[in-house]
Amino acid sequence: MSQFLSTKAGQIHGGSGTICCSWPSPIGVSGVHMWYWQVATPPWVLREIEITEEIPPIELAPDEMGAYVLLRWHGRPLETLWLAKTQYGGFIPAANLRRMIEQATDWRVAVLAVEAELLGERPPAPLPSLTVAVCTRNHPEMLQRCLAALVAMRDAATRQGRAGDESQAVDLLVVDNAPEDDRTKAVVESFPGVRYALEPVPGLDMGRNRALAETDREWLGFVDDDAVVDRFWLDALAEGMRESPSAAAFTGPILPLMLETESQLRFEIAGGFGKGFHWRRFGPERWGDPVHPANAADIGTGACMVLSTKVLRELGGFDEALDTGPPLPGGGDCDMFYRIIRSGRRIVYLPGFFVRHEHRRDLRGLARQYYSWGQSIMVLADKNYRADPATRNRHRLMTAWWVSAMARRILRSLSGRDFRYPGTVWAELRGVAAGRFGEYRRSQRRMALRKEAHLR
Amino acid sequence: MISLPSPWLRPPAPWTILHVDLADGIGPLDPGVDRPCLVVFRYKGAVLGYEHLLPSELPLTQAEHARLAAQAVAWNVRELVRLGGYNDEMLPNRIEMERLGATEKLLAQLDAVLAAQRSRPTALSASIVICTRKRPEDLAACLAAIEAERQAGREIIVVDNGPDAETEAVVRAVAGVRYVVEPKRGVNNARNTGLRTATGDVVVYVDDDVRPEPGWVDALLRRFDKPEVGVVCGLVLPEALETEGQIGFQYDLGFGGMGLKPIAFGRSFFELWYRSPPLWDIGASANMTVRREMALACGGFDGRLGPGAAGGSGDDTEFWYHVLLNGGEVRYEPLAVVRHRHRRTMRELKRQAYGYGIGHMVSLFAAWAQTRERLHVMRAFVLLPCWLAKRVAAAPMRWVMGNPDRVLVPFILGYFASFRHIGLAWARRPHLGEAAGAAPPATRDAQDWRRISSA
Repeated sequence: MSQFLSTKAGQIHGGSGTICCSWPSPIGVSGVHMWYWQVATPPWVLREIEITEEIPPIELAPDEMGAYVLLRWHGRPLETLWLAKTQYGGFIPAANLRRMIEQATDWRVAVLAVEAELLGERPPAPLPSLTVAVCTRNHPEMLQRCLAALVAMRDAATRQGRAGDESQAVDLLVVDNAPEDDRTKAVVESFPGVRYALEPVPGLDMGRNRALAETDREWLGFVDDDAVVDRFWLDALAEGMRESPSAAAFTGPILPLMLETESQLRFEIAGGFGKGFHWRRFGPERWGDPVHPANAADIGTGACMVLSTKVLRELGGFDEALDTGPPLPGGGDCDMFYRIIRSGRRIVYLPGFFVRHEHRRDLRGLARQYYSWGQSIMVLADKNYRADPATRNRHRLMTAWWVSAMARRILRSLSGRDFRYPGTVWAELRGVAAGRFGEYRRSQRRMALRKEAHLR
Repeated sequence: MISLPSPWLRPPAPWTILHVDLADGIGPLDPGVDRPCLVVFRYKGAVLGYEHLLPSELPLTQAEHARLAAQAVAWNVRELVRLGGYNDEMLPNRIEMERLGATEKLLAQLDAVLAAQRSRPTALSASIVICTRKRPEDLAACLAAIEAERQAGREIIVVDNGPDAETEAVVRAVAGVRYVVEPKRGVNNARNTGLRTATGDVVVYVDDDVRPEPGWVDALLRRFDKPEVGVVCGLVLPEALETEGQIGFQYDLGFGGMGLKPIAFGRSFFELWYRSPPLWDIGASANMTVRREMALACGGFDGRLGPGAAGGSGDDTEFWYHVLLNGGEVRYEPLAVVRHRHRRTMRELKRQAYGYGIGHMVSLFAAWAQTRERLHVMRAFVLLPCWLAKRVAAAPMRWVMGNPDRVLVPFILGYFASFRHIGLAWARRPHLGEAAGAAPPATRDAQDWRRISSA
């Protein structure tokens, strides 16, 4: 969300070397930027290549306009490649592809190899005591897909004998938020061992708090219903938890599930949810980051996060005035990250702990998404400007920075040098304005009324 | 130069410097101090990368430490493994992308590379020359740091540039160290005296405020493997970052050499640049070694420059340029590590910045005097003012952001003060051998790539 902020992770490559880094992700490899409109022509196919095995050539069907390739090294994500048909043609031989992969991933592989060498052989990490909650509302088809992946993940862990007995397996919970019918319930019942909870008051954070009330596990994970977990999701999380026992939360990257429409493609090329594949650790302060933690959107995204139940209860759960659906559709995740950081705890961003997310299919939905981003970051500033006077400077700086970045972005977009249409940038700016000027208090009043209505 | 993640929000002094050797295995990182830390990751002495950590980020578990270390060192490990034994000339910015062979066991590969590098024999003898002026405590510490070299029988000469009894007493207290006096002020005059007095093939210059790490001489000597190599510079690390002055010295003045890869600067260094070459990138005179015969043949150091004479710096860059013009090669060897005691106070930092302003210009004047190349005029009167103007333009914002540009004003003052020495641009470079009757070599023509060694 805030890729324009200079952060430590963008510049960690040591010594005097400066290299192309995937974050913020330009299109192409080795710093070759492409700003051709053809690139943003859907559909693109998604591929995955394990670079320690034989690398297959890439062949595109006549109607496929490019390949988005995720590169892995022993299962760990390294980098993504954007191979546009307009740049590379419809067939990339294996030898050429291997050279491109070497150029793009060489030093990233070195990082992982040196780390593996320093740590030596380690047994697989024990599974955490975890509940994964999916908060959903009227999306039974998406929920079906999401649950299928989660159940497969849980059953694989149980089969490998890592979960001990049945009661220690990953607990799956679906929170049905103010459903209009019982289709969601039917989907949940079709999966064995998935619990169902009902939250009558509409609002994502109401659902999240319901999940918190329903769990007795040490950790509470959230996966959006429009996302699908990666097959190494649980392993990466367990590994990360063993590495950082003091962390209160874990977040991870969000990759595209499909790039079928122009909206999805433009969103992902313009940065998407991408925060790169660098391991990062967020504490109360960050070296060289004058706005941390006011830019909490940089820490992670609610579509893929795991939080400590104890910490969540201590902090009083999610803020129910956020994530209420229109007119304030976002912000609950950022707010929670912000409060965790401000309470002196740590959050770790794990590169291997990622989900694939179905981005908005139409440009109108995309504009809504950007609107909600702009709004949520400003609502966070607005709320904490009052509630947390110690960080006022940071919020002020953050606001100025955000607005100026948006202004630059809209100029770039108007001159056709950005993958985002001016309309979506404008939507984000409108969100900024709405969020900055009192939306939070209006939302608080609305939520109070809404809850009252449900009590009656 | 150790670059910060971002110039903003530098935590206040004092900081702690931690040296972590990855060859000793990696454990949890808990320095037990409530200070910001600069962590220097090393492998068997070779510096591989840096990390900056705030006290709130500490302690780190073993796995977190390994992750940060891997992120900090991977780039340089890969580069060193790729370079292998590094015999040939290498440029500062290498653009070729050779394939890294096996990616597994990178540290083991690095181990082999370092072992091969360190086992290369060298037949040269070295004399260590310490130029000092009125800093007896520093000198005593410096002599203590090179005690092992003295015991190994290495020739050590102290050149006293402002003769005083206290310095002499310090030197006389250590057996086997020669004490030479150079009454004529100027660090380059002292270096010339050292050059004439020394008997080794190679003269290792050490400032009195550096503390060399053991074995740095051997690392330097190994790079004199071709007769045309005239100068080898090494890596300079800060000894401590206790005060704002020291931190500014490290990060604002960008003190301390050219990174962590070995480099060889030869003719291509000129050809690569369409501007006058960035000589200050080569290294630092605090850790400099010269081939004695070559230095004598090309006229020694220019006594008119440097602290004590024209003032400021520029004494070393002028010499490197002179060596390069005469067909020599200048190398940078990061395996030769010394630690520099940075000045503590802000006042000294500003004086140093003032000196850099003078030194930069003065060495350009001297370079123009030798070559009459317009590139130097261009840098002195167009590029440098433009660069200063840019910094002036950025200064208000930096001030607002709480990171004021403290060295800008002294640098500008130094820039203008250097015009006092503009006469250097038309004067002939003094030649060390003139007194002995040797003819000064013709160095006016930059295209004259005479090989000193073959002469």
